[in-house]
Parts: sequence; structure tokens; C-alpha cells
Amino acid sequence: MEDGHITTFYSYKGGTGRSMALANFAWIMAASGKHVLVIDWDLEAPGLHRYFRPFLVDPDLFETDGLIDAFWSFTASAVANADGRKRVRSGEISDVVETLEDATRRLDWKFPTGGYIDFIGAGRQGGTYSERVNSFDWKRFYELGGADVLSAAKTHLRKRYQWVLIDSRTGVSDTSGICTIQMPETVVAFFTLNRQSVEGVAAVLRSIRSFRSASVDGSKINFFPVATRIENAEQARLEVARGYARAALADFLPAKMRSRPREYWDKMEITYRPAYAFEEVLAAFGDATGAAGAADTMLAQVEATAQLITGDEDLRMPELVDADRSEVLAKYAFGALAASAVGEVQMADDTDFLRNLLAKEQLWRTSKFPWRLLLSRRELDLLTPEDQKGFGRNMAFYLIQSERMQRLLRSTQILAAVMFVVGFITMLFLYSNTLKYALAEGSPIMVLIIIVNSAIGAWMFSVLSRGIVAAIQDKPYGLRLLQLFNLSLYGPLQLGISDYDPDKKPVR
Amino acid sequence: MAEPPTFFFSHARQDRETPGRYLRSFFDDLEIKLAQWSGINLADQRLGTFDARVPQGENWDEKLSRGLGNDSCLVAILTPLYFNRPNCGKELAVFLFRSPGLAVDTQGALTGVRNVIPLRWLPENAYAANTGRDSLIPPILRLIEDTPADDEREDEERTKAIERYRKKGMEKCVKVEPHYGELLDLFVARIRGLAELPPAVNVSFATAHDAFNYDWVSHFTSAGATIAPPTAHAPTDAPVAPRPLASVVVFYVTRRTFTPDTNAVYFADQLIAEPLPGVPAATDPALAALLADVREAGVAEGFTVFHAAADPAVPARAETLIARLSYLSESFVLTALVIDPSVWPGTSALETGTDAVEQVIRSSRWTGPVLLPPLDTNAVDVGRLVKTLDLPPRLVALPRASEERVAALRQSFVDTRGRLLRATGTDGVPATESLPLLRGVGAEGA
Repeated sequence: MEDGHITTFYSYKGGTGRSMALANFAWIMAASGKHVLVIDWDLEAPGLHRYFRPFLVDPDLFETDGLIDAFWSFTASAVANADGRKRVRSGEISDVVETLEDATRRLDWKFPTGGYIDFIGAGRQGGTYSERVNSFDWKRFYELGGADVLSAAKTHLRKRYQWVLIDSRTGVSDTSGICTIQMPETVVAFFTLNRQSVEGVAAVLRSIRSFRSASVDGSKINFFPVATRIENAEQARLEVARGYARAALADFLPAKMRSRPREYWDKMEITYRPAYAFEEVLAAFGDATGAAGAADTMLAQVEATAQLITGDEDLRMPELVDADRSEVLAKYAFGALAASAVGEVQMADDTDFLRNLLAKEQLWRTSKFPWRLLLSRRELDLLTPEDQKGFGRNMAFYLIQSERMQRLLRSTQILAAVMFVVGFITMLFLYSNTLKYALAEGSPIMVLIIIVNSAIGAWMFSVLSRGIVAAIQDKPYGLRLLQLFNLSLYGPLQLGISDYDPDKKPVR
Repeated sequence: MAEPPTFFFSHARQDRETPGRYLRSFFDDLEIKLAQWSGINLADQRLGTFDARVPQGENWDEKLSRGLGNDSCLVAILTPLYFNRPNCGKELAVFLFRSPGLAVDTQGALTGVRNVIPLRWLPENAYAANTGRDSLIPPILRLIEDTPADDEREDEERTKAIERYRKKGMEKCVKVEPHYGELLDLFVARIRGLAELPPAVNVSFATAHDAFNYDWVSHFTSAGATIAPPTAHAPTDAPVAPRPLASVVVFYVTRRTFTPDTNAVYFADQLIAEPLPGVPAATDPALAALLADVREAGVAEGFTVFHAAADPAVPARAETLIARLSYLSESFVLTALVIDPSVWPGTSALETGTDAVEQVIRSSRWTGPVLLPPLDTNAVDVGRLVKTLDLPPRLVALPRASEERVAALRQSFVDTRGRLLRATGTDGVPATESLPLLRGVGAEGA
């Protein structure tokens, strides 16, 4: 696995939707098969855990160590490793790894693609949390070799995860400096369309760039500004504010997008949606996935920003069966307790079936559309029109491709048989004189040779005709030329598409 | 078809801040994993007995006793609270007595116990009193292996998982992958590998013995046998030194009786041993309760706790105590001084040496709070003491109630740690890298 990315989500002011965006980004990445770690570094106002409430064993973090606890451990190790002159060396990498593991818990949700989200909260909430945070001296931590500890932590995290997402403190605090300068390769900067937010973010991004270029490694840092809480009212003032913000942040667009700012900003705006102002709900559950008019949903906008940040146009939020969606939404509701289902394993067969189909679609999409992950004949037969009504655009597209593939397979199989027979008869006809001679001479070997030759000829004829038909027939998305050739070549010998097996580990 | 194995989940109800969510999650996950391995659908049949499943209003004794009498094994979730709960002791005793081969060998070691699986829930330091690793675990439990064996597959992940469990306890392994999956597999394999256990009849909490306070000596020697009674392995005596920013040494200025800890340490004349379940102790009950609260508070904040006796009755001893406190502070070890009400400075019952106590309180050579527990007297008016005696503001009046006292101790320890960190001077050592600070609006040129 190549080294992971560390990306910080930052905003100069609070209330921009930064944590919500991070949580949604994490979800979409894990759904596409990635191993993701999210870290709540907003120690003074922790809240990232709220978005993952239904998936945490301890949703209020009363029993779970977190980042500040890890930093106290790092510091204790740093002091313990000091030599006699109090010149300290950083903690050993194994200490760092162990300390990070103490603070990390996996979210309780199975992504069929094999992805997962690990979570590091701000710290164990409760009576002494405030003291633990406010008594920690970050300056002293650095003087004790904290930078080396963080460097070791970064190395470990990059090897362990494909995406590490940090929810930074706002403003110009000591921890926001660490989150935006020390840790990441990318900063996604959120702002609202008012002067303090725009100017604040612009100043901070300049500061980050300046600091990084002047530092020892001079490593490049990528920026992705995102405008949030856009309200489609007061259009004239909105356009003025947009213009102002885009001008202020023009220098911070990714290099390849600077000549196409309109294209960039079309994807990097998130509209204010009152429905999301209450419970901290992930868009994957809050919006009906793939709904008509999806371009205007939080989900669609989250997808768009994720696509641009990652460069992967195929990123999609997975669709969910209604039962799962409803169950999770109930856990988000005010007054609901997080899942502590002591042995609740009742599931309807229909729900299981649909769940499997959705899982298969996710696997198909995230594995770059291998035809063997399309729906099998049996799965297609079991789908009812009612089921299909509930499908979003992803599943509808998937269904179309699956039907195309089944038609292609059927036609190649039928054609294989028919053309083989026709070809064989034709070959025998062409060999008729030789065959008559061989029979007259009583030479079984010659007869056998003629039959084998005819069969080979018939097979080649069959392959050619299958190839021509397959080339002109509708093909499923993602079917490559080589795969098409194999289908033509092997015909009915080709293994078909099997049903989804939830216990089978996805092959990556 | 053979009946699938079932397990009784024995645990102490946590009644502080912790509602036990990880405990419940672990139970669920263990049951699900066992069902998967046994090919059982949990919708048809449960495999675990758990008190949280007994609906309100139902006879919990009857429900749980059924499990005690019939389940294949006992999974005992070990915490310091567990060892003080009679019902937990009873649950353990039922399973010990169900073991047909229960006996002791000629060396006094308990044998024939196969269907009890003790499980360490908390980190190592939670079971330690002072320098004694595992010294809080009652002798009867120390005789049973509680760590899954590494099956020598040379599987690195498995070995790491076991090491983590041993060091951190299961609470810090739940949902920590990939270790958690490995550990579940190991424990389920252990449950499934156990021999069948004969059921027990007429089991009831009303009549069961408490294993932690049971006279095992008489049990095994009542027939006049020459077999020695079971003796647990002594707690591992590996000296554990206080660690910077991770340990707290509490000095108790008191004249109450206590059981001394026999281990010698460099930072105190004597350590105070905590009383253990089933073991007679000379410790004053009020002091014992305070010791337990101090330990609980320290462990809750991730510290290893040492209880040390201090008696600065005369100035020379006061000077020694100050020197020790100072040394510990300079080594970034948290320290605290607990002063028994009977030796408070400035009280009407002045005793010889209270000037010495004041000397320690006033010393600026050490960093830490002076804790004033009411114990069996009235609460201390710290404000009056500080004002009338012009004492430094390091005095902390501790509440009487245990839960509040633990909360106050935790606050105090965390605050002290912060002070120690700020006090760690670098003495001119160049910073390898300074804290990066963002520049805001208008500061770009700076």
C-alpha cells in the first residue's frame, strides 16, 4: 500500500461545517474501500464524535481515551527518555504506535468494500477533561522533542492508513498551527461568505505556505478552499461576496484548476441546509442516496468535493437499504441511545438480499468496474419492480450494466453453440471428399484428423462470429477490450457471474 | 448434535461515570463470534448469560442461577471492584465447585479448574498496589491463567494482540483492530476447547459461597488430608519505579494503623499496603477507604499509584520528607501529601511536630497538593486554615463521600501534572523544532 495522505480540515471561524464535511469525506472514502483514520484535534470544542454517534460503542466518549490523553503519554515518554542533561530524545516508535492505538477505536459499520474508519476522539470526556486540555503546555511539549514524536506518529499513520483526516481547531491557536503546518500534506480550508472568515482563511493559508517553504524540508502543501453555508437568497449580494472570496483565495486553488476557477468553485461550495442544523447526521443517511435531483443535495455536494480533492471522478456515496438508513437515523435522533443491541440479529431476508446487491455495486464501482461483479442472472431474476423503484442513480446504472452483461453472455453462449454446429457442418462439407476417401480406405486416424480439424475450424468460426457480434452489441461500462476478446474466445467455457458472498473478503 | 458451549458473563456493575459500554459491546461480540464458530443462529438460541439481559421486574436470581448451574464456563471480568463484590465471588465459587476435578496438589496449587476464564479488563497498573504487580487480585484467582496462550504460530499479529491485552486489558482492546479480532478468536477457541462441565442443581445466590472470602483451607483439609491448602503465587515482585508524569506518590501523614508493604523503595521509609479481599489486615477502615479512592483516582487518570507513609514528627524527618518530595518533583513524578485530621497544623489539639508538618506544607521545593480528607471528623475549612495560618494555596479539602472524593483527587492529580510539565525546564537546551504558530490577519509580514 502506498503511503497515505494526511489532510487537515481547517476553518478560521467555527460553525462553517468543517467537521460535518470531514465526517462525510471519511465516510465516502471508507465506502470506496479505503482505510481511514479521523482525528478530532479540536480539543477545546470537540464534536467530531457526534457525527459517528451510531457507530461508536461509547458515543459520548466517557470511557474512551483520545488525543489529549495520547499527548500526555507522549510527553511522559519523552521525559522518561531524557538523558542526564535533560536533552530529550523522542519516544521510540513502538511507544508512539502503542499510545496511538490506546486512543483509536474502529467504527462499528461494515463497508462491503473492505474499507473502515478508525476514530481518535479529542479525549476522554468527563470531570477532568478541561484540566487535561488546559494544563497541557504545547510549547513545552515541543521543547521536549515533541516535533520528533509527531514526525514518528506521521510516519506510522501514513503506513497504516490511506487517508488520515484531522479536524483542526479554528483560528490561530497553538494546536491549529500543529494541525495545519506540522502534520498535513493537504489543507482543506472552509469559510463562509463574510469578511472575517474569508480574510482569516486567506491570511492563515498564506502563513502556512510561508512557514512550510521556510522550514527545513520545504515540503509543498496543497490547499483546497471550500465555501460553505451558501444560502440561495439575496442573489446580488451573494454574487458580490462570491467574487470577493474567489479573488481573495485565487492563489490557493490547486495549480491545475487556477485556469478554470469556475469549474473549481462549482464543485467546492456547500449549501446551507436547515435539515442538517440539528442532529449531526452523515449525508449518507440524511439524504436518500441517488435521489432524483441529487445535484441539489448535501450528499451530491459532498461527493463533488471529495471527487475534486481525491481526483477520483468515480467516487460515490454508497446507497443503503431503507431499513439500515432508518435504523441509523433513529440513533442520531435527540434522545436516542447509541447501538447497544445485546444480541439483536433479526434481519429480513429481503433486506439481506438488497443489502448484498448494494454491497456488490459498491465493490463493482470501487474495483473499477470488473464485469464479474455485476449482478448474476439469479440476482436479476429475484429483483422485483418494487425493489427497483427504490434504487438511486448508482443502482439504476448498475442494473443497466448488469442486464447488458447478461445479454452479452447469453448471446455469446447461444452464438457459440449455433456457430459451432454450423461451422462444424460446413467444415465437414468442405472436407467431404477427403472424408469419403478416408472412410473408403478404412483409415480411422484420418477420419479422426478430419473431425478434429473440423472442430477446430468450427471453433475459430464460432469465435470470429461471436467477436463480431460482441463488438457491435451494447457492452457494460468498464468491459475492456481484452476481456471482450476472452469472452469471444472461451464462449460457453467462460465462468459466469456468481451471486454476492458477504463472507468473501473483497479482492483489491 | 452436541450442544454448543455457553458462557456466564460475571462482572461487577460499574456505578461511577462509566456505564460499561465497552463491557456490553465485548459481551455482544463474544457471543456473536461464538455463535459464528458454533454455527448457531443467535435469533434461535442465546449462548451467553448476562445480567443486563434480565428484564426489569423478573427474578434475576432465578434467571442468573440457571446460567450458573448450566453454562459451560464462567468468563470473569476482573476489575478491582469485582474482587469486592460478594455476588461475583459467589458466581466464581459455583463454577469452582462444579469442576469435578477441583483439588490441590502437594505444593498447594489449585488444580482441576478448567471452566473459569478470568479476563483482565483493565491495564496492569489497575491491579497493582505499590510495587506489587497483581497484588490486588485475590489469591484464588491468581491461580488461574488469564492470558490466552500464544499458540506459537509465529503470527506477529496474534502475538501483538496478546501483548496488548496483557499490558492494557481488554477494555483498551475492544474495537481496536486488528488486535480485537485476534483476541475474540482466541477466547472463543478457549471456550470451545473446554471440556463439558456437569450441571449444578439448586444453585442460588442466597446459598452460594463467596469464593474471595471462603475458607479454602478448611475445604481442602477438612478430611484431615495432608495436602497443603492452596497458596497463590506471590504477586510478581518486579520493582516498579515511579515514572515521570505517569506515577503519583502519595505521602500519608497519619498515626492510624496500617499494614506496611514489605517492599523497600528509595523514596520512602515505608509503603502502605492496601487491604485485599479475603486477607485480614490491620489497616484503619477510614484510611483503607481513602487508599482505595486514591488508587481509583490515580488509575482513572492513567497513573501508577504508590502509597507511602510519612511521619514528619520532628524537623529532621520533615527535612527528609521535603528532600524526597523535592527529588520526586524534579524527576517529574507527581506527589501529594495527605494529612490526617489529627495532625493538622493549627488545630486546638496541637501535637509535637505540627510545626514540622507546616514546614513541609510551606516548602516550595516540591510541586503537589496537600490533601485534607475529613475521614471520621468534620470537613476541613481550608479557607480558614489558609487565612489564619497564612498557608500557601496548595491545600485541597477532600469531600467525605467516596465518589466526590475520587473526582476531587482526579482534578488535583491532573492539575499537578500540568504544573510539573510547565516546570520542566530546558536549561538552555536548544529546541529541536519550535511550536509552529499560525499568523492571522495583518500579521502576514511578521
